[in-house]
Amino acid sequence: MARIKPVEKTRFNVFDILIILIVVACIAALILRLYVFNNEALTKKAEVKFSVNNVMQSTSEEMLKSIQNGTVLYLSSNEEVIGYVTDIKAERSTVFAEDEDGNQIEVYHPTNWNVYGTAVLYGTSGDLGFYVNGTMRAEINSVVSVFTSRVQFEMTLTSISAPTDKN
Amino acid sequence: MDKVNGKTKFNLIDILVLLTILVIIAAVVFFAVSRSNSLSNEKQYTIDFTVKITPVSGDNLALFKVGDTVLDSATGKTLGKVKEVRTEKVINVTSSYETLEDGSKVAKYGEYEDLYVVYVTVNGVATIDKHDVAHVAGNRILVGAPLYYAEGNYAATVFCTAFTVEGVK
Repeated sequence: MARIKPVEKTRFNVFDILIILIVVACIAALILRLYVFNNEALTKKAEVKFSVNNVMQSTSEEMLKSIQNGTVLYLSSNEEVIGYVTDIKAERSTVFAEDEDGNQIEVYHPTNWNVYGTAVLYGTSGDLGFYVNGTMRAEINSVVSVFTSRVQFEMTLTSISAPTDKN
Repeated sequence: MDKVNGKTKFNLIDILVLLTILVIIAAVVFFAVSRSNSLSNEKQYTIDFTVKITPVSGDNLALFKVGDTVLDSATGKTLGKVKEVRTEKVINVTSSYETLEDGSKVAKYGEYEDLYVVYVTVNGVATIDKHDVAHVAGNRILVGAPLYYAEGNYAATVFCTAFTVEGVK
């Protein structure tokens, strides 16, 4: 009588499942890094106007001296290239004071300056508009923390153009 | 691993396990080697950077002394030694103004009796990264960049107002 050989089934155990999960996580991380968090995925650009308000006079002077047309901007959070400056200028900050008749008038702040500029920022385009670095929706008054090789500052967006293709 | 006729055979999962372990080992070795290479190749520069500390009460002014060691209060790493200390009084902008000779109107200000802005210049050792940005103890040294400052018993979040990189150490 022929002996029937018992069939050995391959069964998954917890260890196997863990390994599969690790492999899947590695592949997912690789895909995210390559396609989602990579600057190459930033296919759009938008021209923004920005202000940096109430800085010391020496800071505004340093910004005017070190930032020119074409100066590259890096995102403070991850040091990736986020765009470049095309124009920059500085003016004294203002505050309100009372004149002799008790009216509120705008006068210069004794020490502070505002820096105004224009920059091209890289990002993506979505249903709700332009996303700086693909993550932050560009809105009037939104703040983007950036740095150059000399200055770190928080740019408050004051206008945003319609996004166009980066290349 | 499956046992067939008493012999141990590899299956797909085992191969995945081996590949994963190999990839992890390769990644660890790669990053360890590249990190040690980048550290050994980093030139060191002497740097003077000035931070603005405000407001500081008059009682605490004596805490800022030339020669003191300045630490990063977040990491405990050394930022450098105090080279110079300068103080100004904190100002208070009022609602009145004065008209200057050129016709511009500027708000008047007063000074607080016992509150100061302290500017401390620290001499330290920096490295320069691929963006030409100076780093001291892992901190970006840029005008406007925040630092976690600790000198003796005093700690505060401060901002860099100026810096000069003086050359290779």
